[in-house]
Amino acid sequence: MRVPLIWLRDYVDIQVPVAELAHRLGDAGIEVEAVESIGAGWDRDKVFVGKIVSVDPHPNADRLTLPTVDFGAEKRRVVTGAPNIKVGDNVPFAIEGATLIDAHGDGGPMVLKPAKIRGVESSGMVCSARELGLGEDHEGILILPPDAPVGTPLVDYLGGDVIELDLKPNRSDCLSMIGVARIVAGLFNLPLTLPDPGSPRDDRSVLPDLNIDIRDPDLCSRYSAGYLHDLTLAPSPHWMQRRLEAAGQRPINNLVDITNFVMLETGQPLHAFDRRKLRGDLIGVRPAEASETLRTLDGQDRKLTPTDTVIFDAEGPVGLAGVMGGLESEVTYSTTDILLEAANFNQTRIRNTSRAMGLRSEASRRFEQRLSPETTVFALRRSAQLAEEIGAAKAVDLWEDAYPGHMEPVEIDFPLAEVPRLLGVDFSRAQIVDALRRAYLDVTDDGGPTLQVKVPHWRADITMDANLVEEVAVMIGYDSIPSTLPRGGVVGSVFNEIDHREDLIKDILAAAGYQEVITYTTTSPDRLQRLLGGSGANSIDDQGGLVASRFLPVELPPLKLVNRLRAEEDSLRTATLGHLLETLAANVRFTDRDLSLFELDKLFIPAGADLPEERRLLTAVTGQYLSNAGWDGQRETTFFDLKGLAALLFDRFGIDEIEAAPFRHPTFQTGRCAMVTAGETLLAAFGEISPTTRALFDIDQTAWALLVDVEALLRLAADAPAFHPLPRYPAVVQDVSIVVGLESESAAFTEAILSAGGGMVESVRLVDEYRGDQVPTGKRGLTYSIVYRNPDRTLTDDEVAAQHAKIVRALEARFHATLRT
Amino acid sequence: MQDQIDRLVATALSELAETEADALDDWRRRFTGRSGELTGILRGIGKLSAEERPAIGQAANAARHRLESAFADRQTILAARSQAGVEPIDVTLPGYRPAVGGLHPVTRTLRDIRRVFATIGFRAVDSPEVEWDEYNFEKLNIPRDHPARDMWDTFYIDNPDRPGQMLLRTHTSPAQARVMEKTQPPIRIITPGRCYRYEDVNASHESVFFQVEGLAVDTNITMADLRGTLEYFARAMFGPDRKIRIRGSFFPFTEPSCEAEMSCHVCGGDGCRVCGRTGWIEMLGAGMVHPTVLEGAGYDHRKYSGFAFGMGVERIAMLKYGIDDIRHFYRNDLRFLRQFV
Repeated sequence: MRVPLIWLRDYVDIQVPVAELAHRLGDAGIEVEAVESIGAGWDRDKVFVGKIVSVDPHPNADRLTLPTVDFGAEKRRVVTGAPNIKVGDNVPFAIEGATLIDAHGDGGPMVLKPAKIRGVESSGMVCSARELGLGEDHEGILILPPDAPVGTPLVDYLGGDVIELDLKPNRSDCLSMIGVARIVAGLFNLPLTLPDPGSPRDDRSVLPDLNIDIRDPDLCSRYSAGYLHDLTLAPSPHWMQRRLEAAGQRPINNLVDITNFVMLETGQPLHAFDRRKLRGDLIGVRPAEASETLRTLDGQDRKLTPTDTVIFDAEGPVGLAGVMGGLESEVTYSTTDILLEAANFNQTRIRNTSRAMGLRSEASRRFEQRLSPETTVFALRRSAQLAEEIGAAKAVDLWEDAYPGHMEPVEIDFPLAEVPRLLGVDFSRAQIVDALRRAYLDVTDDGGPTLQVKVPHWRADITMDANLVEEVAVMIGYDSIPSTLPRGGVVGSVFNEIDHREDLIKDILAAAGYQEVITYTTTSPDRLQRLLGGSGANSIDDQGGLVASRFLPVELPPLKLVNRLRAEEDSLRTATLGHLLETLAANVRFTDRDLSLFELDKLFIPAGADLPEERRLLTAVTGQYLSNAGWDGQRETTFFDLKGLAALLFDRFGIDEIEAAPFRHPTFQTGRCAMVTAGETLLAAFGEISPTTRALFDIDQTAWALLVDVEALLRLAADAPAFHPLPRYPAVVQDVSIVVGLESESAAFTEAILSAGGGMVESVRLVDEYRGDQVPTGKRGLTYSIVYRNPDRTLTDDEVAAQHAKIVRALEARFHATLRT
Repeated sequence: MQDQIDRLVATALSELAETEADALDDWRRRFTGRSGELTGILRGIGKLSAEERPAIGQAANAARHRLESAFADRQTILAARSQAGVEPIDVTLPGYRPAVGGLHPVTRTLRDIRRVFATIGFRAVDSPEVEWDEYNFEKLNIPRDHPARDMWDTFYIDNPDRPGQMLLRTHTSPAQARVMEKTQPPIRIITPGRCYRYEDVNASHESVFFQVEGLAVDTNITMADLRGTLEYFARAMFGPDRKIRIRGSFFPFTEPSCEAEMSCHVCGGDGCRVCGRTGWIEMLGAGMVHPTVLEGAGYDHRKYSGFAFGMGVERIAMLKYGIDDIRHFYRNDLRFLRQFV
């Protein structure tokens, strides 16, 4: 809401600098979004109200004219191309040195200099609205009202500061100049002067009959009608136009301007019906009937539903209550008398209608808030007074008034102790009483522990103690509240195990060279389907099905958003991998290295009528090369880099009994992916992304991914690493190199070595895999390092040799392995 | 005789320090060899009395050990020295940095926030991102069709079983209701998490963002405690000179409500570009938990009071790191993210 200070000062004599006013209002919770200074750049001695005293043709140009302008001190002849001026017009006039807006150029400031235009000297300028910074209009010169005082600095006539308020929905009382003035008066301890609507205009003899029919008090708590007759439409006076313009309302004519002026002054929207176009002596409020139509003021035929509220006369709807009037009863130049409506409608219904129809106006915006029904009569009286004062019409203040929703004012027994209890500061009784009174609350203080507070009708937001505590804080100033910390002991444990462990997972990934990303959790079904690389479900085996259901359940229809910002963000993701691959692809454009990314975040599994499962996954992806910040060459990512990363992670959480097994799923390259289980629990899946999936994500290098079920990981995690005593006797380490078939599985050899070790083998580690000329075709060489140890004594060489030989025999017998020499 | 031995040891050690590999054997012959000087001294032992002999014998043995040990060290040093000659390297070449990754700035900021609040007894708890209207709005004193709903532009989820009920939480405040209905005071929690707003993205607004909600409920919680808590936080995050000022505001679930501003950490309050020349930076919205919300959780609002606040994590990160555009956070351009490694 725009509040021109010249208007505000009609009610409260506020003279502090506008910045201080804005700041103080902000402290009080009335946020000032902007301060605009109209005419701040108009020099008092260079921009004036001028009058065109003559207009001569330009000798060398048909489109230019030579008006002579009287601006009080002197008369000057200038050159202009403006088509709209004539002798007698009052116009803004600037002389050399004035700073104006360059309306022909870049819209920046320009300093006016004397110039010769097509051979004629021009020593000043008549100005358009745009050149003065008053709007976009540059079609012609801004014509000022005929009574504009010639020679006055323009800033005195049109300028002034305007504060723009961003009101919170609880302060509907500030949707009016009077409401804002009331706050300002309270904050600055200044007297408030409300407009006096004068002695009643109550000549009921001129009134036609009128019955008001409110079908349901829930639709309309009050309907007050005023009566204007002998209407004379004309422009409204400058003081009113200037205030309306500064407040952002375009002046139209005296009648429209009065309704707008009174709405802005009091907060009460008004609507004028041409009384003679209303049928019968009836005006009423009811829900619209299904499939009823109304042609509104903008000429549109509106289809109504029972959620809309209509104003009706004896024959049908004549207006959409609170939103827009009907075209049929519109005021025109032939209108002679008017029913002026000041009503209070159901805010929810107005809100729904104005949204559904996309019609939001200053009036509907106010009706959507909680307005006081007590304001209607005052608004009618004020309109009647202004109508007579500016000669727009003769008036009867109040024609008829139906008030079925009358409510008694709220009274609160306010315990003074609530102030220190909630604010933590002991204001004195006098301070509290003074603060509440400055907030225009009616306080009775009988000296007891409570104050009796009567809430004025415009503060419907105040219903309880806490509201009054806020008023005290606002009026005295929040800044008087001290700083303390909550008292009392420790509240349980502040340690959150899950957060702590997720931190650890992230730290491990970062330490391993992966950069964390946080992606959107929204996606679209199309984007999710891309993960399948264009393949169908037939390329998934049973294991792949397990992987899919845990990590990539893209076959499930995702949760859909009702409203969306972008088509590609219309669903909640059921897989995280796509976002990581997209991020990888986006970064390939900038770099071919350090493309190792991870995210620990949610996917959303729909659960029918219930809230979805928010499943936490760790997703890590990497490109063709491992991260390497050095210059010692790049190393290509392999299957074993992902497997090793998984092993490191599980190891750190004390999960060592894990197994890897192949699976088939179109997202991954078959033969280069594996799933990791611990007992029955699926923990992870990893491998190379299939070429088709990669292609759909526009990644032109190999890509790898690791997906870890974080919940399963944390469920299986050991509480803390278990300590093993350090060995007291030395170990003997012996290697064995065997030649085996390519289809063999390394894990089986490790297992066989351990079981043939007779308890003497402490650990087995693969140290080399060889494929090449030195072994027969179809074979590979594997070298294991075996650690022998007895925890209770030193092993002899003979013992170790004998056991080692047993192991070799076992490998030869079980796997037809041959020793490699 | 003892003096003789001491002098010999001193001479031998000082000469050893100057002896190079080719002269080592000579040194040994001269001092510790069979016909060396130490042996020479010991020959005179027969002239000593029976009482003196054992002491001198011990001293002579100790001297021999000392010289032999020094000789062995000298041998080791000279042998190692002979291997030390290698080609010089270009010391201006960059080092091989361990290939560590990094955390997202939002994660870093969230950790900082959690850590600071943990030190004053606030536990971090989780709360769903997909919520019911009931928790996101109604239990927070924001009835359906209330104009206050305009303060949150909401993404709704198409759920045919409960139309118009499921949504993406617009703030972390539903955690207030969820925690209070499960717990009895005293409560001190923070809830970090992602929130969603159905609004266009620009340099200062994201449709997806992280918030941290704070809630303290007990028999004696005041707005002064709120101010002190926020001041503690601001000082821990932005330096010990930070001040907090609080200004009036409105949220349906707090009363009184306020906005907290922090004295600018860049200019110290003198006014600069970061604080829009005001010296103050908007930090968050807060207030005392609304009596209706307390009663909704089954708490007696005359007995218990509480404060709540909600801060934007990206905003804190932007202030902390000087980031000028919120859109950087979720574009995931590595050139941005790598700056926080």
